[in-house]
Amino acid sequence: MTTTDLDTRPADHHLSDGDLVRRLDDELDPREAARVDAHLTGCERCHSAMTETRVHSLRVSRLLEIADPTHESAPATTEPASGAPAAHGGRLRWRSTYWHVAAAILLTAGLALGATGLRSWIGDASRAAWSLIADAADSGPGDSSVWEGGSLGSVTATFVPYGDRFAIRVTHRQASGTLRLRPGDGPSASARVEGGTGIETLLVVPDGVSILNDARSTADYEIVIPPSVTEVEIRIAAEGIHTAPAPHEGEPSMVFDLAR
Amino acid sequence: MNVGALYERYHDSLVRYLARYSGDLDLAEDAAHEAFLRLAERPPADSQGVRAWLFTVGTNLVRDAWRSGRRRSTLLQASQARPGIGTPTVGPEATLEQSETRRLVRTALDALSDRDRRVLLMREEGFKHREIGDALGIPTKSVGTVIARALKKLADHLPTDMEDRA
Repeated sequence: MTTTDLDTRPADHHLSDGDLVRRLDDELDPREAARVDAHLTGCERCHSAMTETRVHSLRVSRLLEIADPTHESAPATTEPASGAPAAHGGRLRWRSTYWHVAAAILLTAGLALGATGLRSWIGDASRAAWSLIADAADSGPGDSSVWEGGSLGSVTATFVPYGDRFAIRVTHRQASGTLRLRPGDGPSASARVEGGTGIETLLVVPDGVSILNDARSTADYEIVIPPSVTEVEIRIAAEGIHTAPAPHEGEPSMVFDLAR
Repeated sequence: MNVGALYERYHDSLVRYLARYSGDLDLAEDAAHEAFLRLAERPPADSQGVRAWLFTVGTNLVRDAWRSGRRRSTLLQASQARPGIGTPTVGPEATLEQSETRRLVRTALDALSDRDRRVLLMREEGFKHREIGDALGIPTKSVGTVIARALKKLADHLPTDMEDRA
């Protein structure tokens, strides 16, 4: 059917597929919508076509929702396996076949504040990962834990603020990746790039900071968070964790060693 | 222009759209970040159309990444997505079914033309036909027709027992 204007179309003229979608999407003005509704009431063929369009639309919406990459589920694991932690000589080690990136986090906040100064908590599914970070921080300089590949996803850490800031030092670069920090509800954070090559991008967002790493980037990021903040959510897309010796003992910082 | 407010309002929708468009969540997040950065640096003259502008810029960034060969997830990679810490755990059977569903939907989306895919995904994010038409250079009154055809094409590419699998 052509795109003949609905107002000029003969009453017995069947509706086009486009008209049906426009009605479904509430894109018609009231007069057009009334004409379409009147036609649908008396035309079995168009009524059937409308039903089919509605079914297609709902089905596509549902399947897109089910298959949405933004809420993929993690497989349940009972034993350390791919993507799950396993102890190796006092270290926690993840192995994964997914990606070529090995990335690193060191919480020197833990080193600076001691085991009691760092209180981390995350949900059951992510507790193990944060334990890795906390254990590494507690174990002191020189220790190292590796999570080879896999996604850190989103973790929430509760910590005792030390002053009003901590630094993120990225010692090696990944190909690319976004790191998000959310210091909980309410207070906002500020951030700045220290050094760097001008290709680093940092965006202060309402509830935190978003940093896009680049393989060529050499900057460190200093994040200033109000002392009232006790929780920080860290999200690193497609990154693993590799904790390394602390380069900044005595100051609360997070070190992301984003190496290929 | 309050980029922070816009970020809060549109970021999740933009990432979801780009992830569905590309099949690559990491690429989607990177592109969304860059799109907001560009918004902060060089906002569009028409502040009314900023949402569509963000989606267009994000889409172009994804396509640029593809062209430069940076990365594009394959169907298999998409189905083997890395488990995110903090995401709910499901049993292996459900994971397998979900992976298969994701793969089939991805295949069906990839079978569409770029225009049809964008039209459907923008509609899913609640864009009005006028906004979709503006973003894709289609007359507003033709958007319904394009959507109808794209819906049919997508439905044709999806197995009839998809809901049972899901």
